[in-house]
Amino acid sequence: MMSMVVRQSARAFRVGLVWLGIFLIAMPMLWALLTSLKPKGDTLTFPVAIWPESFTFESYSTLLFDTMFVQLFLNSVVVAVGTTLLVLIVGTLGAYGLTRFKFRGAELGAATILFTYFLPSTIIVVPIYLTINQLGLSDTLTGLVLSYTTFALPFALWMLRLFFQTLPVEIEQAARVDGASRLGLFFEIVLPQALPGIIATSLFTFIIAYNEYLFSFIFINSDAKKTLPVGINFIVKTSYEIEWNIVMAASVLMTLPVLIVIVSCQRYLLSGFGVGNTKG
Amino acid sequence: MKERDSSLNLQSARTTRRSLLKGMGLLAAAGTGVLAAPHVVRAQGKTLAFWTTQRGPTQMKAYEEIWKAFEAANPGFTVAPQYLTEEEYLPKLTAAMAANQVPDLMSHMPPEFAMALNDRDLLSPMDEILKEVGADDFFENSLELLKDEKKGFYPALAIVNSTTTGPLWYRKDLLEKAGVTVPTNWAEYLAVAKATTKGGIFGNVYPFGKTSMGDKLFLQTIWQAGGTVFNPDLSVAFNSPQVVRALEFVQAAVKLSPPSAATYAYAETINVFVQGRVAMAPYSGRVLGNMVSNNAKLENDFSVTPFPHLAEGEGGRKVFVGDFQSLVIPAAAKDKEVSKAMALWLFRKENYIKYLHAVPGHNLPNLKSIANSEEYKADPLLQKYAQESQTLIDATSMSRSFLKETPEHQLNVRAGSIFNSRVLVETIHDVIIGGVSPADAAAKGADKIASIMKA
Amino acid sequence: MTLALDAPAARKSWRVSDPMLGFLLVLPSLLLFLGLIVYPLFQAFVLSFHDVSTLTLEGEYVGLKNYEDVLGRSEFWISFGNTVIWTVGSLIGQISLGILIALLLNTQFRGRSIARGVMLMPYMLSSVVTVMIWQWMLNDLYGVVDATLMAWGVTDMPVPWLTRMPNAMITTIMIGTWKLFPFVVITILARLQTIPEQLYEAAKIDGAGPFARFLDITLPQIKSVLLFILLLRGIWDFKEFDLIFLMTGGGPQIGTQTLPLLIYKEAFGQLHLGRGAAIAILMLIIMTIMFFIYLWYYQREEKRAAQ
Repeated sequence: MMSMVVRQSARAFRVGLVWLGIFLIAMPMLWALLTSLKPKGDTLTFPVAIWPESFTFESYSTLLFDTMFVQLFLNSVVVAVGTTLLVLIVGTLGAYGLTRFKFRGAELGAATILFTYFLPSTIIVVPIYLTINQLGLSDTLTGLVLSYTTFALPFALWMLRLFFQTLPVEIEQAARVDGASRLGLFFEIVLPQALPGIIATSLFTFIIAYNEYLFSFIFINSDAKKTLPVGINFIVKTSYEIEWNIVMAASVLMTLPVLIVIVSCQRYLLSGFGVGNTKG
Repeated sequence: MKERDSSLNLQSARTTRRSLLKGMGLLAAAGTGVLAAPHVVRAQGKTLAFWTTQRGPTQMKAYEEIWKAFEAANPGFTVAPQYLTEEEYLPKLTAAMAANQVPDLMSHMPPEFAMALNDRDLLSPMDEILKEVGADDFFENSLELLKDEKKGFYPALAIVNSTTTGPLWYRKDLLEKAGVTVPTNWAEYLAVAKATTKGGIFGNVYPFGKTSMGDKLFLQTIWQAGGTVFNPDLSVAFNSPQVVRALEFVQAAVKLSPPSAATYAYAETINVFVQGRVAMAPYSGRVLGNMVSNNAKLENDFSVTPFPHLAEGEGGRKVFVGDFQSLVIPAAAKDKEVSKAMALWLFRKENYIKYLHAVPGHNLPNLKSIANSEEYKADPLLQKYAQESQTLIDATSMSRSFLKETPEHQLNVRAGSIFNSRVLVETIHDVIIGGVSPADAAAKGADKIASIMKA
Repeated sequence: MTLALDAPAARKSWRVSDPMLGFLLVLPSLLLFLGLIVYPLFQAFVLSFHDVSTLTLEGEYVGLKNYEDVLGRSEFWISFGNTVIWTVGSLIGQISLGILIALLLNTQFRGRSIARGVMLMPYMLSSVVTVMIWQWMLNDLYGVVDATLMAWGVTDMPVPWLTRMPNAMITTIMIGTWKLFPFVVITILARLQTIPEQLYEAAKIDGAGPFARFLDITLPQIKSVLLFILLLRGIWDFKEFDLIFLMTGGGPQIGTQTLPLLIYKEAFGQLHLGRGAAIAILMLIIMTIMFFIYLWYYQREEKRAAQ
């Protein structure tokens, strides 16, 4: 009886601790949200007022209607979706080829992919810029998508390959005995099975491309073609003073797509962590 | 030509990336489409590029109106203003020149940059404009500064003049509450700063971000300690007791400044004062308008005094760094007559005053006829703060440029490179952040300056 | 590249052989690889032996001069040291916080999936957002962190979080920890859930306290996954650019300047493209060594799992 009580309160304590931890971790994001709902004056008070005198969506409307935010957002989405599509089509074929077919260089290919997956963007940013230029794609979103494949493709190949490896080869063998062609097999049997893995890979690729900073920072010059991570600085910091309520509103809006992914596709994301990153 | 551009750019340690890559991109474009490019330019051939560093909202609006009127008076032309920071000026110009897309007129170029460009024969003479506006109408200190004696012409004209570091704004209420009076020398300044630092309010802000503001303020501090960066023959004088004295003053002032003063430039400095978080701050007359529109509850609680200097008994002197914002026409400008027309348009009385009134007191007239005109003085803000306006004018009249630290100095065409390298303000960083002693920092700075002069 | 075209003779002639089909499937990836990764890497290698200006993209062959310049300057070694400090510091932070939170989360309670979602957030945020939020929180005039510390009487005046040393490095490491620890949580959590409950029950009966149970059961069980995390995150943190660049720009002075920032500064700040490429190649060598350690460990574990 006693130990039951002790155990239950120990459990309650533990759960309380969990939520306290979660709250502390979420604090910066909550503070950003709260700040974004304050009028400008309330962000410049001293001493700092935790709770605003009144809530307002003024910073959001400023951002959406008086700045280039929407355009930058669209640029980001175009680039992220473009990268995801390109990398996924090429990567699914490639990863399947690497997993299920034996040809000379397949092993080396896999190791190379992993190696490039670890390659710092800073190392190739200079030459990739030259390459994009030579293709006549400098200062274009297409050029940006191509440059993103330098990190997105190795990532997708690696992750998809690991997903394919987890699929039982027996079903494919059985279908082959039944006379299915290898390509037909790929579309009818392999793809549906690999769908969770493909979704997880797309989600990660989308988020990585959506958040990318360095290439976008260096390759895009025209304001109208900037992506959010780079353009946002330029939106919120050109004015003579930094309006923190708007900066925080931008942070919140910018995070929305990522938030949606986390809320709606957590399962896929977690499987992606498990498989794609360590196989632990 | 290309070699010149790149060597010019190499002197700027903190080139901005955007401009640079724009240059790279344009270079590449030029490489692949030499034939295509001129047609594109010619097709929209009458777009004129105007560059300026003044990008406050009201200033951008004033420029827009001024150029709208210009377009109306000169059908077929459109003027595209480009707004940039002082730090971007040279890198962007370098990139533009490399791409053969030079601006038609540039305003608010720091005179140190203008004379450096002139030294490379990149600017065209402004003498015709000077003659048409009237040489007698300009204040003499700017003309003395911007004449190329060897070539015998003026490559730049200071369209306005003001000082951003000369005026020291202070809070009357805070000083009164702390029982201190307006400081006139460094000892008093530090005492006031100390007395007013409490409860989240800092006694002063001494901005030393690696920007042109940090450079100019420190240059002024060195002058006010009785020192100079160069001797009149342009040998390096940086490793001197006066520079060490200046560094010691900065060390003490920074202790009573907001922690991020290490990154502050113009905007942060004015905002921290207008928002009421410091008791004293250097800045131009822009403070007047910003205070009234952004923090009106302090509008009667502040005033301005010339930035104090080391007491005369200890060798200090009263002198300020002037901005001498210059108007220049690149030698490579496509149509000099058009450029000249644009320049004269800015000098037209109504345009000149419209621009000045966009931010009253921030830039001051460099034409006597405007300074004394009723129309200029009619601005309500300048009338409300008449005493403060006079202080700004007085400080500006005692201002000098790094180009010629004293009247005895030779013209230093490398002044712009020294600014661009940020070696002056870096000396402060060595002391405050690196923990180097002022004497060692001054010695190190002297070496760096000498090597830039040799390069 | 040569292909094994040893297709059985029985195949119909129009049918491509299996290895051929495999290769064809890989071909688009291969082309993108060659064009966008291998060729640029080769270019970087070539550039590193030239004295090229970023502006003109012209310059002459100078042999090993760039490498000599770079290795001969203290700035490279300071940046290298900073990279090590940042990597080790943020690894320690992420892994300890990650294990702690994973242990806390490894229990059934209502709203666990919400808790997990919230905790995933920092990892998914863009670096730009992370930096904007923290710069606001640490703002010297209006930051909530200083305000709270001052209200509690911990300090009289705002703390120079990012403008003095070693503060800036410590602050950057703490922010890095906050952003990157979720990766550790998720990977550890996945492993924790495979540990049989009986092991703990048995230990409890033997009278082992929570700490002893952690040391004797949990730690050995998560050891291999921990080593994976260490290597993987070590490689990633070593090359981190965005977070540090946006947070401090490498400052104050060069106090938080890591190697990736130095590459950027040389190539784009000072226009020494060749020198930047030389540092990139040096970094590549370091990364390659780290990679082979990882690969060796990965293959060993894969073999062990196969047995």
